[in-house]
Amino acid sequence: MGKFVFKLLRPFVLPIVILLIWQLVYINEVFLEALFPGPKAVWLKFWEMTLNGELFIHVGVSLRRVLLGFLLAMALAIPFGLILGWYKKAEHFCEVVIHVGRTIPIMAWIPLTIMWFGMGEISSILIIMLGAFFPTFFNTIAGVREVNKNHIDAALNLGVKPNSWMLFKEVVLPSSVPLIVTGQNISLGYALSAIVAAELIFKNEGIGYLLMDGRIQYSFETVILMMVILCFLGLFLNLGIKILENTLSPWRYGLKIQ
Amino acid sequence: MGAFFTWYYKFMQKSSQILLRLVLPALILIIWYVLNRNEVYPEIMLPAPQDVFFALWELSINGDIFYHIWNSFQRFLIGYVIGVGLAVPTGLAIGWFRALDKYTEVTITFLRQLPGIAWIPLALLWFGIGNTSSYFIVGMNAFFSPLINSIAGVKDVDKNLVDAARNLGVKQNSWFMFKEVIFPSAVPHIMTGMRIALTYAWGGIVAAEMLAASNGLGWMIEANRRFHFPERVVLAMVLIGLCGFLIDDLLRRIEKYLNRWRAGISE
Amino acid sequence: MAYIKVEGVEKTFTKPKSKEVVKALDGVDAEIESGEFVSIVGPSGCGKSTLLRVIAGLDNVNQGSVTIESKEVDGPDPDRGLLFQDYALFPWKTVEENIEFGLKVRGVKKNDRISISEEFIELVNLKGFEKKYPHELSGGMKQRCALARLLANNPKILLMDEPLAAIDAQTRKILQEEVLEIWDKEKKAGREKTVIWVTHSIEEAVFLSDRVLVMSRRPATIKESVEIDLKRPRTDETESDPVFAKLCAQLWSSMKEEAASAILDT
Repeated sequence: MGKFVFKLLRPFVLPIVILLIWQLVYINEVFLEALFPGPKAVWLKFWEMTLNGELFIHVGVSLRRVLLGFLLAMALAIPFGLILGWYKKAEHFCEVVIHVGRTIPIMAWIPLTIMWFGMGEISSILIIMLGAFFPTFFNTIAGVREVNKNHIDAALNLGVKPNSWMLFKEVVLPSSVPLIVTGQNISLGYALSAIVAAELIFKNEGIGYLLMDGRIQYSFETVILMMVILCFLGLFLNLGIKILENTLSPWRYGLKIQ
Repeated sequence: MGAFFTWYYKFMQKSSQILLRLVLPALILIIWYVLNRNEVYPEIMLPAPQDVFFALWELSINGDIFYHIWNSFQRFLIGYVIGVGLAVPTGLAIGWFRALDKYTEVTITFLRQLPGIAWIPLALLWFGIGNTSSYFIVGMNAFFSPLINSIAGVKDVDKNLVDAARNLGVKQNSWFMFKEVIFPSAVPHIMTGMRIALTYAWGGIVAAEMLAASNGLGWMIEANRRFHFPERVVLAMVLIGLCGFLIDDLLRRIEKYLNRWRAGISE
Repeated sequence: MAYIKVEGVEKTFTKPKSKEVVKALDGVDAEIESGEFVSIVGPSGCGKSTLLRVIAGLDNVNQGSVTIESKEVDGPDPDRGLLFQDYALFPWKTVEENIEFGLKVRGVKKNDRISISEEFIELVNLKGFEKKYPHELSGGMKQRCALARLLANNPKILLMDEPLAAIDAQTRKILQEEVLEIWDKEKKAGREKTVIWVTHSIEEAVFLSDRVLVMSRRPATIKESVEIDLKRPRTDETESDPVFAKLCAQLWSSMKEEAASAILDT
């Protein structure tokens, strides 16, 4: 029984040790106060922001933007990816533009976006879309391309017409789901990155705004608090995707996942 | 005669493929030029395509562009090496010593959620504007992917290979086992992690330079936006993309060489 | 005194995903003489591999013991070479480097390693392929390489875990004869080996061995031991010997009901 409890708690040993060391360093080296708030300060900040509603507002704003941008990106990336994966000619057609779009890091798009759309809500959403688009897009194409040829042949053998909608719907599409979901996981990471970047620069509310504001006000607690919140947010969103994955493709262990 | 026709046919096929790829970019360039010519959008928003070329020319002549590229590349490289240099041994150690893994798994899963950009304000507070900030930011960006992949590389070693080695006299938890079996087996994973880290690191240097540097390609983008030189903004974007692509390509080639013992090379 | 003695061996393990507890071996007894070539046949999944791994020392027993010359088995040792079904060749090492591996473990110097491994490369007919990587080899060649890797350490016991299962029928027949040839050559060179050969093919077992043990389905025991009274060297003509067919039939009737019910084992 004791062994079981130990096993359960073991993963938390490291964080607790870190927090303790952090707190001890902070108490003993007061001059470090400028560089390093103690965990207590961060905790207090957390309560302060929760109680006056600030946290709610900003996290809510960021979350809203991320979800919106992410969903819009998915709505574009998946159909687009499926089409380009299915029709080779289409892929050749768009290839150059896509590569250009892909190799430019998200941050690099921000100044251009500011020039065209200003620093508002639309810009934020667009940046997130840009970030979230490519991983899912490429994984969708790969998913279509890498369907197990044996499965296709088996379907053809059973009467399905080649290059038909039925083939696509019954074989290719389900086959690509694992890769698409993997793409979504990565896209989510990029989306989170994008929203922080956008809010950092646009300074229009949200976690990124608070993050940068914390630095401007020399409020370390805020900066660290925001970072911690981002971690939790990431975990939360990833959990969401996992649940989605389990509902859509419980059979995925039968296929090889990259 | 027949040989000529086959060659001709293949040539036409190849070139039609290439042409197909070029249609869209050409179209975009043309539309861009036309839009600019007819002043559909103000110059501030849409610089003329030719202006971008002129900017490239101008900045090459006075050496500015090379100065920026070199600075970016240098900071990127140092930050990347630091990040990867810390991540890989740590990852290998965590994968190898199971106890370490149990202790660190949750912490790593938690910390990896943090986007690299989120480290910038902290870096600014600690190091201000300058190279150290960049190293830190790029390093953080380049850290988690090789770390996680290295851990997986060690944990996913084919058990049969380990047993075969044990059968041939190698002690289970020995250095010899690690050096001769575990590590070579993990190399492909490590390289994948390093390649992914590259993308993140390159994105990281751009972000870092936009906010915490006074030169470099990232700085160039943001500064020129403020100074109203949109053609230079576009130029910087293109260069960033190009450099990122070249670096990635280089790493792929290295990876391919190191993995020559693998059947069916993965992407 | 038997050279290898397996006494009342029991082995249980838990399936990692379903946490199901499976008893693989339930009181296995066997005695094998030095220099004997013994085959073990049995239905799929009955635990033949598990038994071999236990003798090799890669897995522990829950009950019972395995003794070699009265000494209990305690961990793996190159003296009991195990040939895996999927070869387990190190993909990042060349044929040469794979074969040298056991020598490297023991600290043999590079030059000596090369000359020793050359001898065994020739023995298994892989001359010319020294610098190739495993993925460039066919199944048969991989198996030869894996065998040479074991032989280079001069093991007293060879444990073969369905080594020819993944190989096409034609190559299989050729390799069967090659194995016997190599076994004989080694004996003549003063390096006599005891062989335990696990297979699901009765014909293969009869062709190769001095004795065949029949294993029951899971949880397994040794059901029967059949002496193979065929002349050596075994050749294509051996298969036309009426005794051959009789032995196969005898073994099959012993194994048939086990096999039929074992189909439903997961």
